[in-house]
Amino acid sequence: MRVLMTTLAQASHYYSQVPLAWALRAAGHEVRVASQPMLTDDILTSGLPAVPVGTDHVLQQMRQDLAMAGNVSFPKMYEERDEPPTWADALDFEILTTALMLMAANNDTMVDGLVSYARSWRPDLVISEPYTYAGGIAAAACGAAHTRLLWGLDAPGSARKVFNELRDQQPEQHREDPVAEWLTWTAARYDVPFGDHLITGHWTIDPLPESLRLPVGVPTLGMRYIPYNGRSVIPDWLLEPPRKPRVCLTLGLSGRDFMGADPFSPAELVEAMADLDIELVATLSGAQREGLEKVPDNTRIVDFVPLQALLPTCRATVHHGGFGSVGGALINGVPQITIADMWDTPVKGRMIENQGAGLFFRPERMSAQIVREGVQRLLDEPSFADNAARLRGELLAEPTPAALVAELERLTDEHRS
Amino acid sequence: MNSQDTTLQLPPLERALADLTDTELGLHLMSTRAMQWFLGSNGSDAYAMVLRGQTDDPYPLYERLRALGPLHASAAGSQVTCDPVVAARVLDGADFGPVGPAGKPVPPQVVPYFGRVPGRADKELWLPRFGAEACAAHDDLMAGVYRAALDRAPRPGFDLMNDVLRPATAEITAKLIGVPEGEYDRFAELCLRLARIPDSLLAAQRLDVVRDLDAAFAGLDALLGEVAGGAAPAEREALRAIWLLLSAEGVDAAARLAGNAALALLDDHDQWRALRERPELAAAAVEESLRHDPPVQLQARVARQDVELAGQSIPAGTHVVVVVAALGRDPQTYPEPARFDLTRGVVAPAGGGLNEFVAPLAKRQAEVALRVLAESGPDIRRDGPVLRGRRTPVTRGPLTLAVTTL
Repeated sequence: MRVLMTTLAQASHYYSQVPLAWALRAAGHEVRVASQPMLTDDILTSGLPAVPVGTDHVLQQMRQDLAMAGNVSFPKMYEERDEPPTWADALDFEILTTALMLMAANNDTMVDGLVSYARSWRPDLVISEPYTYAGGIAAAACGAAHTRLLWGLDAPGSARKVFNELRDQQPEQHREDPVAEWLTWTAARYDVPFGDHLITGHWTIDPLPESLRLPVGVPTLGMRYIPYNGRSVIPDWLLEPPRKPRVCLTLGLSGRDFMGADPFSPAELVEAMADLDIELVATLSGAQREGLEKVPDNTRIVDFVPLQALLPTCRATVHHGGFGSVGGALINGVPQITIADMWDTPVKGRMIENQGAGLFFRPERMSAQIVREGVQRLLDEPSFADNAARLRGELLAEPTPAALVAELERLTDEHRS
Repeated sequence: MNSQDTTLQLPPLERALADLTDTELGLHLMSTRAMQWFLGSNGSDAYAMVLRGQTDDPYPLYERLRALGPLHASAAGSQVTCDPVVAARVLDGADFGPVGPAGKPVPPQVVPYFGRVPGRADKELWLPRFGAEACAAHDDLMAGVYRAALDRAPRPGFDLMNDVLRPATAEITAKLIGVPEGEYDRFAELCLRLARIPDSLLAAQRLDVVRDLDAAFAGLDALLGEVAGGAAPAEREALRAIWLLLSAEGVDAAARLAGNAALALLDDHDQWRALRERPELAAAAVEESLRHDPPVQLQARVARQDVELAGQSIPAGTHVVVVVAALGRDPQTYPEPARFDLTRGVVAPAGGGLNEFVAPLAKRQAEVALRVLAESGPDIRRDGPVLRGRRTPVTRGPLTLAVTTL
């Protein structure tokens, strides 16, 4: 098969696609990865052929502009709210995510470039990152099968389901559907009619354990999460067995590069754990270390270490809810503390807490004492490790990317035209 | 500049809609909609909330705007006033006009107007045809059309707006313009499709809505061009522009005016009975409705040159919005302003926002409609909730008004 993978240019989103790309390639399929030009180096580093399309998105710039314009707050997922969403809530969510995220992430030149490439190369299957709606359009434009590969909770699928239900309850004259409007005029450039399948694909591949999936009601294939942490050198100290329970503190790639600012102060976290009888490994960039007066005796600070090498040696991990951090903890059965308030991260953190495999805190309600006590609980109460092991078991029961290839071949045959 | 760079910017307003691709126009409308929505988030900008147009009752928002002082700069880019003195200054035509100093629309108008509008020079042509005196001469014609529509409406339940007021008003205007009888239905359909024109200039609409407005405007223009073919060559184009305005904006404005008045009357049994007993109060009902809930809630103007307004320096090209609907609710001028009172006997501020070319005919149509309803219609009462539009901050009026004779 020819497989065209595509993602908006964001390294952490791309990383979750890499192991499946390798699996398809190793099974003899032709795999190419299309994104905006600024992701090209990351694609090349992963050992896959890159297809730069269009011009770079301006998401970061837009966020900065909006922050200047006023008190910007990105809409909360419905699952995070106390009340069931109203039509006004749903419209708020759709208008802001469409105009401030989706339209910018799938900029016109990128969609044009992707469709044009797909029409020339004629892939059998398009695999898209869940916010890269350009992938659905390109697949429809060239007759390919289309699957989404999730990297977190299915926030777009879940939001779409809720929105559709609320929209259909409104009087005809009050209905609107911002994402459909945008996709309608965009897909019309290639004579592709709008349908919800452009958003949710023919099917969906979900790398989270079943206990951590939202009930979206779209055809879904489970896939074992396999970490890919980018280019990395394994440091020697990882070979020495830890003398004290090792705890990881990581704020992830997105927290550093994408959101612009850490959701909480890394220095504060390190100091909160300074008097615990643990070995703390904190992956902090230079800027994240600012404000840390001295490195506590129990702490090792590193700029970067691949989580897949570090987490198997850890008894607990503290993170911002990014998918690399969550997935790495899950596949290694490590109890986790999520401190998060952005997009799907608080919902994910809460679900993990409800599963008994970790704790969840909002940054604004966090204090040194809460973190310290939380880490201590993860280490002292065996139920956290037991439940983390259970979720790991769920993931291990899912097919690896390699084992999924045959099913993808079958579904592609069924759905391509 | 490629389109990804323009996501938050506006394409030039001076380009005709037909010259914009769906992607360009769609991006512009969606970005503007998102901006208006975003600025109103958490209720932070009351005028942006008005532009959002998601509420059935904008009057509490108008009170918030009034409390902000005589002239308030909204984050949505307009200066906004609810003050009678400032409003009079903005609307008197001297320092402020419908377009900017360069003769073109200025942001934050969302889209350019859909065609040409009559100018002051066309007044002479207009006055003997559609001035107050001329319109009064057509009372019998109007009454006949409204009565027929009322008789035709289903029983016991019907929709006062869409079974009676909209089609009959369109038919009357068609007759007065001289549209051939065979084209009445087409004319009425085009007028109905154009109802959102005033809203589309201030509140970003959906792409398909704007495209349909543009197409309907062109269709109406073509139809009226055929009718104008029968006029004297020197008068053709001016007549066509007058007719276009009377049709595209006037028909629905008259229907809304009558509908708003009927709604207020039916909601107050004593008022409705008073009109049934004395149908000659219909003129007073129209004037009170223009004050109480005007058919044009907002009027926008642009400063022709640098001016002083409400003690502030306003540069040429500034977009100023008069909240006409708030003027009539000013508690300093109107005791119990939210109460509809046939006997109030006041003149509606800013003429209820009606364009000067449109006002005499629209008011006469609404008056005759109300008189017919009170005099010879069945006794009716409201039947169920009123459906109001969304993103209709200018026109507001009911989309449907279900009534029953039971």
